[in-house]
Amino acid sequence: MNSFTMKALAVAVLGLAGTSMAMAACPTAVTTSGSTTPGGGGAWSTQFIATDATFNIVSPGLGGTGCTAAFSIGALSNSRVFVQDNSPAAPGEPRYRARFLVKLSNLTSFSVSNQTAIIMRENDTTSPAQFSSDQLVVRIAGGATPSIRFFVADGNAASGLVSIAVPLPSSASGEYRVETDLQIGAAATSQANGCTTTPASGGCFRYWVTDAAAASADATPTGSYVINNSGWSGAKTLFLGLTTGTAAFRTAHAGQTVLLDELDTRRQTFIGQ
Amino acid sequence: MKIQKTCLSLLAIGCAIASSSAFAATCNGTQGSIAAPPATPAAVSGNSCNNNPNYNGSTFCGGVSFSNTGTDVYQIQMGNAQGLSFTVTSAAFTPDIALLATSCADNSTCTVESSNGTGNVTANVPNGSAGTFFIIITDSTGAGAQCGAYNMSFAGTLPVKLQDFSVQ
Repeated sequence: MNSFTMKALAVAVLGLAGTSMAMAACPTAVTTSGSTTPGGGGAWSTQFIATDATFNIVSPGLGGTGCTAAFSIGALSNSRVFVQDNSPAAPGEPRYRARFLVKLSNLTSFSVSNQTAIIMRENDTTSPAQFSSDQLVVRIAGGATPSIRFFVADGNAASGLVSIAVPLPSSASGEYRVETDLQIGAAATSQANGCTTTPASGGCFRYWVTDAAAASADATPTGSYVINNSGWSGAKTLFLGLTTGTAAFRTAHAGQTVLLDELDTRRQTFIGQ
Repeated sequence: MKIQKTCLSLLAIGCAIASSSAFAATCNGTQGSIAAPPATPAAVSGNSCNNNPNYNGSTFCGGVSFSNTGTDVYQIQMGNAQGLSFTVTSAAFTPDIALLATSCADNSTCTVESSNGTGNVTANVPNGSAGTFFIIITDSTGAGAQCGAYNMSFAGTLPVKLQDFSVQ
């Protein structure tokens, strides 16, 4: 498991630069196209930037921090940009929690539901042959009220997925906190909001989508879903960024940045603020 | 615990690409066939609720969400260099419409996809090669009923075509 160490790096750079600067000095991102390993000076395993995508570290950060990662994709159908964490244990984590902050205010007119892009993926080493090896995909989707979309692997569904749409709550800062808790296991029947508390065994997905300034608690997730994901081996790789966007997203938001920050992943304990 | 492992760039790229095309959900069945231009009917009415549950939870056209409560599918056989536009109007849901090529699998080639956040949307299909296509009528908002009654109308964009010719 791993936590991105962007904040620690930011503090270190600020210290080197002195304290007279009005704004935080952020780590210098590798912004060249292609794959760079390791990424962020070792803060993440690797990163990838497509030729028409951008990645940068900018100030201010989200959640009152100094710096944040900024991602944008272009109009090409294969445009993508992401950082990647390979630290989960092989063959995969049987339970995997993740939390990050996201800000979408740079997306102008993010107003239609076919404008959608993946901002986080948890990929497994193995899965049922007919289904994707992603145990969890998190998308942003436009709308009158934009939403977070969770696509969770579920062998009980014909598509291999259940989808959950969560409208973004009101937020004075436009910053949102997304936290997920996914346990691998079997379930005879899938059920929405069927595992508010993660059981000792069995497939369960819990999620929190809140204003970044609002408190959240382990016992009161935004929602949950009993799922049958026993055919998946558990999270082995995490991608954060804009790993793909629909044609409508790329057309409307080419070059516009999505801010992602404060990623933390754990096995057991709740993360929250 | 903090473990950093080296990941080959090709592996990283492969992971990103493979995720969107490794599986497919296909329609349970179509709601009928639409005659190709010039025999295309002026309009078709339907109700998408509870249809094609295989699509529930999945996406099409590179990541657009299917409705979780029902999606309608119509098959249409297009001729070479034939195009058309189709408009779906509904008071019950926000239609997101598309034309998929070859099969009704969710990862089929997306010829066109359109939604505008209202109850009335048009998709313009450019002239293309002959083949079997599938019209998708769903709701990608993830909110509200996500299905219901609708009307679909067509307008052809036919090429100039010689129908009959003889030299005596």
